[in-house]
Amino acid sequence: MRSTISVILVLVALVGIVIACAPAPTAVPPTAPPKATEAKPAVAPTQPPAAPAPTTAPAPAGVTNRAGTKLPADAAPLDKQVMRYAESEAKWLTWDASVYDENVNDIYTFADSCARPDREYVPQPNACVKWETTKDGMTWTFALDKNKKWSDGTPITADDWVFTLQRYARPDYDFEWFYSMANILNWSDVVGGKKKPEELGAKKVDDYTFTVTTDQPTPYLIKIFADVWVTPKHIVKDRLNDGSWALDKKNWVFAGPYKVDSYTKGKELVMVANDKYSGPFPPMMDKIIINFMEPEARWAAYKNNELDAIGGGYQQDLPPSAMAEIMANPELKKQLITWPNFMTYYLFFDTWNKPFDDLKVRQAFSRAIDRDKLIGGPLKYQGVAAYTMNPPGFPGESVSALKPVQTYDPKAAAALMEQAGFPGGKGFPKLTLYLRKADPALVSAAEAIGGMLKENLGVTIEIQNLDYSLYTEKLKKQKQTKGGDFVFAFVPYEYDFVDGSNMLSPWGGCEKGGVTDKSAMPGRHTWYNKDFNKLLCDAGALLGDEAKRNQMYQQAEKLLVSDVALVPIYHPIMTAMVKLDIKGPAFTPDKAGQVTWHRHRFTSRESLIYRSTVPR
Amino acid sequence: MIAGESSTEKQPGAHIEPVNENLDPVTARVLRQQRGLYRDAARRFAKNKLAIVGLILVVVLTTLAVFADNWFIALPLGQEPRPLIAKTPYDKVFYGPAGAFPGLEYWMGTDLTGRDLFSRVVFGARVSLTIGILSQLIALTIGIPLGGLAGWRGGKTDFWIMRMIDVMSAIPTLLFAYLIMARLGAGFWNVMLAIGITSWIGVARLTRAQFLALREKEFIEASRMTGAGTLRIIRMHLLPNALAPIIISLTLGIPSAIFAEASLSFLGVGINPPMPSWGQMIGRDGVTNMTYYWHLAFFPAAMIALTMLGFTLIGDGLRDALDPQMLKGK
Amino acid sequence: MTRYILFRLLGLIPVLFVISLITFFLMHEVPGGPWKYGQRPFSDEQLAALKARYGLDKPLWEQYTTWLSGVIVFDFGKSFKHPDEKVIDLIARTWPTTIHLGLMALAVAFIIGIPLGVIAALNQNTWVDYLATLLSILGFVTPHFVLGILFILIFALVLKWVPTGGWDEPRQWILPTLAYSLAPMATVARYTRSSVVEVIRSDYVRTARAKGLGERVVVSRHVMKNALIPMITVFGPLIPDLITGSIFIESIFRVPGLGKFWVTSTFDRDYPMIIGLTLMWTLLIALTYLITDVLYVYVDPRVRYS
Repeated sequence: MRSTISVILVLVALVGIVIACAPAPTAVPPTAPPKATEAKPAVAPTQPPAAPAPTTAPAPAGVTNRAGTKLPADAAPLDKQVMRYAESEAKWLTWDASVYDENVNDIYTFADSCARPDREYVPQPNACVKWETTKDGMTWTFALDKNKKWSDGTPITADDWVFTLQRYARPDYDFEWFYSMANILNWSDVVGGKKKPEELGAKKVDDYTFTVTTDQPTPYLIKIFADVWVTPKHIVKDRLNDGSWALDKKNWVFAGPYKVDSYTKGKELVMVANDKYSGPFPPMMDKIIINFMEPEARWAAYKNNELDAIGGGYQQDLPPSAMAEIMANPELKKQLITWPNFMTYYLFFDTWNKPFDDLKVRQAFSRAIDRDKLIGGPLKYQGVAAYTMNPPGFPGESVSALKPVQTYDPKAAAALMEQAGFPGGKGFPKLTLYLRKADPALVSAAEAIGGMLKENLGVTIEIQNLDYSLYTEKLKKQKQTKGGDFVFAFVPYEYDFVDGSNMLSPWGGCEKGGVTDKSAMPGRHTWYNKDFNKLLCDAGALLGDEAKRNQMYQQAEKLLVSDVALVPIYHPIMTAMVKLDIKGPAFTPDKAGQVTWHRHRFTSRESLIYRSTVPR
Repeated sequence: MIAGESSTEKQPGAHIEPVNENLDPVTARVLRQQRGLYRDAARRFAKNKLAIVGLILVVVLTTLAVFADNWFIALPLGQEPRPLIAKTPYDKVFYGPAGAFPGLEYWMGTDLTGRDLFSRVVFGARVSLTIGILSQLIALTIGIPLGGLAGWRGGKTDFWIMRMIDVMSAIPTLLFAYLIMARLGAGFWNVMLAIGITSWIGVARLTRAQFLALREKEFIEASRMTGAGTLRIIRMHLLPNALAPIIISLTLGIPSAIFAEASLSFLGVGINPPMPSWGQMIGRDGVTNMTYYWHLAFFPAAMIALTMLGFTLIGDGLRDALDPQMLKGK
Repeated sequence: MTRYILFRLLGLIPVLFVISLITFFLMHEVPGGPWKYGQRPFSDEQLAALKARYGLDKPLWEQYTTWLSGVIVFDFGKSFKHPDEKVIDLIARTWPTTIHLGLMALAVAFIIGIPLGVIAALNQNTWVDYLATLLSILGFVTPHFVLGILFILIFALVLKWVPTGGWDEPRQWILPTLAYSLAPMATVARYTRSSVVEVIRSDYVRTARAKGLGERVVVSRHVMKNALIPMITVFGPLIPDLITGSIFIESIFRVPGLGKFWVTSTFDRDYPMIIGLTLMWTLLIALTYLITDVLYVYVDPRVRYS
């Protein structure tokens, strides 16, 4: 009897704790009610001004979305103008919080940038309608679009833009390094807290004009300004806010063609056309739903019509099996879009320590890897063979000139290894090839590389796939201390802006202030070349002669590739699947005849697509 | 009627008769008796057809694992190691076309780097079985003594061991494993260590529960009254009686450990490639490519299933064979 | 008995304390921090600023005492990964879904697993037994992530009965529940079988049968009750396991639950969440074992605690 009471007692205690921890343990899906209540009021007030009557009555004559954009005649009814994507849920909802942990694709949709590159990567006026530089190339004046308003109706002014730049110049911002490449006056002092934000080389002239002053001529500054996404000063106020301002619903104020309508954690982010937007990209698609979904679930969801588009991003939505499936099925193949990306996967070495301090060893490695076989195997449909850091079509590239330097030649590779004192790999240490949070296909590629090195050089290689933290800590440690086990890794670099300086920047840059310590030099890798740095530095400051600049980058890259600082493996090809009823100007081929499905950054993609009743 | 109530009547003379361990003839008789018990058990086991099937499975798998390559023959002769059972070494890339389906030439197909999947599955047997068995041995060596001590001694010992178990079981397994991986680096030995250290709690709790239930039984009290020493009682009565659930938990534990390794591989901190393990083969390439290259996940998964089947059947057979109550019935 | 329970509950406090201490220092041992690393390493100044943002610039013991003083008033701090949510709120938001899924899976596991085990035991060494064993082994040997994708392939893509994922309507609950329940079902079935087999062989069951009791009465009254005792130790721990979720099931079926945080909080170095989850787990496990032990006394009067 007593024991029965005790049992009940414990049960009651447990139930109590469960209730205390979880206020709603019953089977109600927690996400349903807020969604319903949030969605309705947002739709109701915005719809009437748009077009209350025409949307329902003359359906075939044309559909007008909630922002007032008239869709083409073949558009499906308004309630079908919804685009569903998949993404992994990120931490932040704004670019000025973090770039590596926010939903990048959303930003491009609901934020607005100063300039926006066109399909040929040339910066075009956007929120900044005009810009000019002084003769010395040190001061830029930007004129703003006077009609631009935040989604709450407040005008977007020079105050917002200057504030945005000041916000970027804060020490805990993870993309600060990118903007530091613009060489804005007093940048590092403001970041380091040595100078006040007002002393930054970004100044308001009047409400719709601001200037940017640099400490050296920076011809590519406008390309960086394609990634300056305006922040609402009247909302954020605090320059040092960590970015959590944007997680609060009442601060949802947007400048782009779309605005966030609801955010259900763990489930979805819903964006709708922004009726306050004015500019070159009026929204076409009415509503965008981002489903939070891990990559492995996406291909099935797409096939089951739960998503309208997958791929084209950083994650591997379309693994080798999906690609094989698509290639074998004409119906699926029609939905496939592929295009080259400015990105390079490469092996790098610690050239300051054994065993890779010997150029011969590096050369042997570079010539022992058969890229074509990789492209036919684990990297099928995923890229083209790479022999240079700068990919084909990138400014300053020298793809054809440098290809012979590292071509596959197992005999020469073995001979080089022997000359270096490791005949058949004898005496060579066992190596670990490090990867940075690589997806399965890339691990396979790394295994294939390891297999080739074993076969051609007799080197034993183990592969370790590290997460970002562990990888980056190791990278930093390797450079700062003398030696370690981090001597050999396989990682990608994607361009940040289309300029010859950009993709060479991991390897060096301007040597400032007469530093003599190699480890304090610019660049992230353990490779150093004085001439390379000088070329990069001089070319970066060269004004007005793009051809000369690019020639200098070619010289620099020749140094890089000949000294085997890296072994380029492949330039990825982007792949995406888009349902055939999604149509619009986004699918017009560019000058090279290439249809792309670029991330919104270039084109504000959703503004260029709609759902049609006639397949593409 | 409650369990154990009738246990006095099923105590044949052997357990009640006074035994002095110092007396040689008696010890000899006890040992002989014990040997007899195990011989009986072996005979019963051999009669169990399913158990024999399980044994054959495990023996075949172990053979695959041990003789995957003939390194011990090849090295003295200075030859290139040529695998005895597998077709090629596990890391021989582009041995065949990439992603070939199972067929006559590559009868489990090839993976995306053109490696022969059969060879990888065979080499994977070595890695997976070693991880499964050794990590469970680690778990047993920690779990049985601790659980037994707690169950037998009770009181303060039980209390403190239970608190230790509470602490250990309260550290989420994956977190713990990940911490070990991050500290020591991913790799074969660390995976095994992490799995072993995180899986002894079940064994300990099981042993303790068995000892707790058994020590109150009359036949234990009876043999205690007859002056049998603690160790003897544990060896003669408690362990054999507690064995069945422990064996079952062990047979389930080995594939569990193989899975734990698969999960770690799936999360990116398992065995380092190119060394293959079944879990890693499923967890990385297999799962990602299941919609088309189904063989990449199917064969290693089937091997895990066979291993599991083998160990389970053996476990069942052993349990039946060692069941002390069945012994007493004879 | 009540005193025993109170004693155990009080004993939980030092356990919680020790675990918080171990976890706290262990998690800070792993390199990295709650910020995402980008393409290149942070400079020392940036790292210092980031550490200050999360309060990680202070000495460890000070961070610990700050955290501990919050815990006393039941404040586990804000999640680093979800800066707008407190750890408690985050758990409260996600756990109900996971409990819901876990209980459904548990129900399926028991409803199918126990009969499967009993039937196998009663028909020991016949084809029924072998079939049941095979079924439970298959359930056990297929990893969650393989099962999950297989189920999606079959039931969503080929048969088109259910969506591939989501958690809005009961239709979407089916696949994750099934996939989640197979492993515990196998465990339940196997342990039930071995337990029942053992009891069937015991003399008192033989006696009961000899007394002329009907098979149904023997099984339900004698066999089941006695077979339950060793099973409690096995089934108890299944429950906290199931109601805390699985990252594999949740990520494959898009269930917005708690399960993924057991892994992602470590990936993200979300320290407050890691330690909050660990303590939650401690509490759950301790209570489960306490209940198990108490139930033991209840079903087996010969076991007693002083």
